Amino acid sequence: MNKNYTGATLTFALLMIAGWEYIPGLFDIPAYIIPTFSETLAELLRMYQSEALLQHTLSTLQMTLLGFIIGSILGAVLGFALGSSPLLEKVVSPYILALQIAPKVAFAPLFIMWFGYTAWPKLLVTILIVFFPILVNVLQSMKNIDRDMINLARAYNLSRFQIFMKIELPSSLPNLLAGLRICATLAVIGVTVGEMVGGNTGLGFLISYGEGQANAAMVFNAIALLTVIGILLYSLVVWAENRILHYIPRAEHR
Amino acid sequence: MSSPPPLGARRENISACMQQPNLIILMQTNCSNMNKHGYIQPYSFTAAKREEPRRKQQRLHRGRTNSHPAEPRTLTIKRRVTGYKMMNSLTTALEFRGVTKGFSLPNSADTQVAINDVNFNIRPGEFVAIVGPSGCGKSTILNMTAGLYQPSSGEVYVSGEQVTRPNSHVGFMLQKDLLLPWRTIVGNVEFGLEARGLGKAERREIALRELKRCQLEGFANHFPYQLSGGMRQRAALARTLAINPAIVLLDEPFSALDAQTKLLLQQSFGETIQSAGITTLLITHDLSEAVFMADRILVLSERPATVIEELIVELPERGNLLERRKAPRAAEYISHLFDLLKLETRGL
Ligand SMILES: Nc1ncnc2c1ncn2[C@@H]1O[C@H](COP(=O)(O)OP(=O)(O)OP(=O)(O)O)[C@@H](O)[C@H]1O
Ligand SMILES: [Mg+2]
Repeated sequence: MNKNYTGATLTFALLMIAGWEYIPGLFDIPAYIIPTFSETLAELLRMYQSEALLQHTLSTLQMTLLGFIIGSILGAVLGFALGSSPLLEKVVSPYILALQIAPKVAFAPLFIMWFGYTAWPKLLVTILIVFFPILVNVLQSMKNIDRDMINLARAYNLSRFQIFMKIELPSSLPNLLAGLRICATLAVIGVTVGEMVGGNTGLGFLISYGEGQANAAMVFNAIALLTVIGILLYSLVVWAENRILHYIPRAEHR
Repeated sequence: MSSPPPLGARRENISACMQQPNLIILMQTNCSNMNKHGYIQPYSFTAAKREEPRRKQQRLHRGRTNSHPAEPRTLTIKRRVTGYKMMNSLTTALEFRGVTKGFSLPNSADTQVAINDVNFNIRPGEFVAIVGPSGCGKSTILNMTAGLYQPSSGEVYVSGEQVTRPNSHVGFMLQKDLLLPWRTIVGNVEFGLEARGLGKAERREIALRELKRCQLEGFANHFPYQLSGGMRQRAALARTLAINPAIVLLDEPFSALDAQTKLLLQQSFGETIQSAGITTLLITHDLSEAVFMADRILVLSERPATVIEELIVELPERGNLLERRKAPRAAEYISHLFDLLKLETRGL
C-alpha cells in the first residue's frame, strides 16, 4: 500500500520537475519571470559560492529558532499567569484581543525606526507573531481544566504551586504543543518579513535583493530554503509532541 | 485483558491483604454504650481499621453526647446479638450538626438554600448511603465534608475534629475517575500522598499495596487510557484508599458504567470496603445500590434538603452483594425508598 503511494508521489515529482524544466521554454518565458529547474539549481550553486548563501541561511535559521523559543516562552508564561488570575485576565484581555487581531508583520517598519538595521526588528516581529497563538492556546486550556480535578488536589492538601506543576501545566501541554505547531510556520513568516523590510542578512534579504536584480531564480531558491527551515521546525515540534503526549491515544491528538 | 478476574480469585486477594501487618484490630474500646436507638453496629470488625489508632481513642472518652436536635425517625430497629461488636456511641467518623448551606445566586442578592438543617452521624466502620432527588444537595454534603467549602451555618466534624478546610482524613471519589492521563496507574495512586512528605519508595510501596487490594496489580505501569472504565474506577478507589482516610466519600461512583460492569464493581467495592473496615458515605441515585451496599440509608428531601428518614438496612453480609440481592427483604426496602421519594407520582 504505502510503497505504491511513494512510487506515485515520486513519479508525480519527476513529472513536475520535467514540466518545470521544459514548459517555460515552449512558451518563451524568460528566466527573470520563470527560471527553469536547471537554471534555478545553477543559481543555487552560484549563490552558495559567491553570495554567502550558507551564512544567510544559518542567520535565518538562528533568528527563527530564537524568535520561536522566546515568543513561545513569553506566550506560555503570560498564558499561565492570566489563567491563574481571573482578575488579571479580565483587566488585560481586551488589549490582548486587540493586539491579537492587529497584523503583526505591519509592526516591522516601526521596529526598524526604533532599532535600526539590527537583528532586533526581525526578532521582535517573530516574537510578536509567535506570542499570541501560544498565549491564547495556553489560556484556553487553563480555563478548561476540570474543576473537580483541582478540587481533588485541594482535598489532598496540595499547595497552589503543586497544583500548577502537577495538574495545570501537564493538562495544558496538548494545547501548548498544538500552538507550537502553528507557530513553527508563523515564526518563518515573521523572520522573512523582518529580513525583507530591513537588514542585509538572511534569506528574506536575499528575496528582496534578488527582486532588485530581477533574479527570479534567487527568489525561488530563498523561498525553497525558507520552506525547508519551516518544515524542520514543524517536524521538531511534531516529534516532541509525539514523545510528550504519548499517553493520548493516537486518533485523538492527530 | 479488560475483564476483571473471577470472583473467587478476588476473595483470595482480599484475604491476602487482610493478613497484612498494617491491618490491625481496633474498635474494641469502651463498648458499654449504645446509641439511643439501641442500634448496634451489625458487623464484626475482624479485619477492622487500618493503621494509626490516631488520636481517635482519646477522643472516645471526652466525646460529646449523641443527641441531635432533629433526629430522624428510624424505621427498622433491631438488635443483633451474638457475633457482633457494639460501637461506642461517642465515636463518630462523620457528624453533621445543623448544617445549612446557601449559594449566592449570580446577578442577585438572594441566596439559594441547597441544604437546610441537616443532622446525621456516621460511626466508624459504618457504610451509609444517601439518596435523594436530583439537585437536592447531595454533592454539597460531600464537598463540605471534604472541606472544599464551609457550611453557611452549623458544623461538620470528621473524627471529632471540625472541618474548616480540606483535610487529609477524607478521601473522595466521583463519577469521573479523575485519573491524570499522563501518569501511570501507580503514579496516579501515589498522587494523593504527594503532599505528605513521604519518601518516593514509601509512596510506591503504599500505592502498590492499594492496587493489589483493588485487584489491579498487573496494571501498575499502564496508562489510564489502556484500562476499561471499571478498572479506572478501581484505580480511583485505590488512590482514595492510599491516603488512609478516616472516611471515604463516594459520589455516584458507578453511575457512568454499563450495567454489567456496575454489578461487578459494586461487588468488588463492597468486598474491599468491608474487609478493610472503612467508613463510607455513598451518594447514589440507584435505590437498589443503596440497599445492597449500605448499613444505613439517609433519605433527603427535595431542595432545600433535610434528612427526612433514616433507614437501617438489616440484610445479611454487607460487602457481599450477591448474597444481599437474594434476600427477600431487599425488595421491601427498595419499594419503601421508592415510596418515600414519591417516584411513582412525580413523573417527568
Ligand atoms: N458552587 C455552587 N454555586 C451555586 N450553586 C450551587 C453550587 N453547587 C451546588 N449548587 C446548587 O445547590 C443545589 C444542590 O447541588 P448538588 O450538586 O449538591 O446536588 P446533587 O444532589 O448532588 O444533585 P445530583 O443528584 O444531580 O448530583 C443545586 O440546586 C445547585 O444548583
Ligand atoms: Mg451530585
